[in-house]
Amino acid sequence: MQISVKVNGTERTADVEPRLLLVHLVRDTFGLTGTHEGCDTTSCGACTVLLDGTPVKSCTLFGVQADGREVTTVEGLAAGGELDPVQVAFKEEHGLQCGFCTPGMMLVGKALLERNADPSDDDVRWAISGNICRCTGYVNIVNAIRHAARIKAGATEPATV
Amino acid sequence: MPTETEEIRGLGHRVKRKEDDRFIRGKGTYIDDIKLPGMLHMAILRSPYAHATITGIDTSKAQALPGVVAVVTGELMAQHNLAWMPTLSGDTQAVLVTDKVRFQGQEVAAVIAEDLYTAKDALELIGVEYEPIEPIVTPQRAMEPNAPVIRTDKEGQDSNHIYHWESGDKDATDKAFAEADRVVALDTFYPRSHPAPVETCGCVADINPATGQATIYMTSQAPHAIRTVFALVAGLPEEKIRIVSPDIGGGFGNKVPVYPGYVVATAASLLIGRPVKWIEDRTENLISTGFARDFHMHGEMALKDDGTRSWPTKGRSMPTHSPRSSRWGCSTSSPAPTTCRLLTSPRTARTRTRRRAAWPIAARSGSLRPPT
Ligand code: FES
Ligand code: FES
Repeated sequence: MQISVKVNGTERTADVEPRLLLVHLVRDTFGLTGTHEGCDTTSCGACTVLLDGTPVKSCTLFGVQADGREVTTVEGLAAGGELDPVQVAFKEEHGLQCGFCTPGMMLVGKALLERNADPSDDDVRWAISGNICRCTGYVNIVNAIRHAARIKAGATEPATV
Repeated sequence: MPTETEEIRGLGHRVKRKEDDRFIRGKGTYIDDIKLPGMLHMAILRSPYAHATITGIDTSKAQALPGVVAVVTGELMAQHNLAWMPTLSGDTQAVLVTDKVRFQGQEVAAVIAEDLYTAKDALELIGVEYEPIEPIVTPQRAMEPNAPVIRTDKEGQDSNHIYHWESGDKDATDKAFAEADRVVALDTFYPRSHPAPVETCGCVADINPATGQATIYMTSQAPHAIRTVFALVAGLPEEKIRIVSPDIGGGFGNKVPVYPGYVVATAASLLIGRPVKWIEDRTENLISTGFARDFHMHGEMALKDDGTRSWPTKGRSMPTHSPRSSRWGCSTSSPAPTTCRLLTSPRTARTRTRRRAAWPIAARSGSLRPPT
């Protein structure tokens, strides 16, 4: 099937099997390997991308379902070369260790901050409840997303990263 | 490149990690991100039974599927003397089943194809005839005299008792117990856990047929130990083998052992002359790779009412693993003394005296693996 998807701001086309998963469209067809696959059963959230701004698990959608829509992956976060506040905050607050869950966590964080500029710990924990991290214990991920909110609001200067 | 000089202040001091820059940009290189020219994809067929004899495997339909390059069975591996391999702790482990299945999820066959979807389609076309044998799901059942023996591959193995270890001063401990005013005892169970790193295990095996040089990219926490095992299995000198551990998406001990998938992918790459990638899925990771704990333990302490004596302790424990997930098909993968460290708890309880510990480990339809 012929599809056309706007990926990180760029229009891309591909001829794909209808059963090709969105995660494989992103990783293999488009070569954006920052999106990871941890379970392919909607459990871990490592494959999270934004579909028209909403976090989705790309292992549980077909690539063809993204036809005519907009997909944002971790590679699209630093649009124009400048890091997104969530990226800065994850580094500053040590919100990652192995980094495998991190793209999904950051994208969920970004989507949350679009809707809620000043989330509480509980808001953040609810938002990342579909994403598993086996390394960090979550505390620093929550701190990082709240720190990103402060950076975005200009309430704090991001330290040099 | 500017060098950062930071005052180091010990525990709690924040350090900026070098790797974060690529991780936050999605520029890490994990095992599944590695793509080599001409690379093939492998998928593994696993047994739905915990204990069963295999009476026949029909791979013809799978072989005929367009895009399938090879279907590998235990028989083929045996022709190359690769159906079994040594483990890091001196045991042996089946690579692909030749005689019988010893745990649920054991590797029965593998398909190598041009792409992953084709490889997985082909798995469904392999016909396997199983004759189920009674599965053993508790260590207690495993130790009963009439229980079916799991490790029939081992010469002279006529029961499921495979391990016995004692340390400490037996006579002094017995004496302390004989003289005790009271003895307290505890039976407890330490449940199984699985490390479950978010990135599952996998490898890309690339054997150069011209030079015999083997490069294996692998989610490994122990590349050097793995190189040694590969040298033993393949009969190659270590300098011909290069194990590359790229960025690793969590390990927690799960990525120390050598798993059959690595060996099959490597053998396939050698025979076909193209790189072969194998990435396990989450179900495979949970049912067939290394886990920990699952101990049934019994401990006793001998006490004096007046508190004049220290606390000789005697313990008997049965570290066991439950039936469904294990890689080793009842093989021991890591060195047994690690078990002792956990089980001789008197040391951690600071009762520093003699201790005696002996525990049978029962082989079961899930394998045994002392904890890491
Ligand atoms: S890979 Fe999609 S949720 Fe785990
Ligand atoms: S940082 Fe390793 S899984 Fe989250």
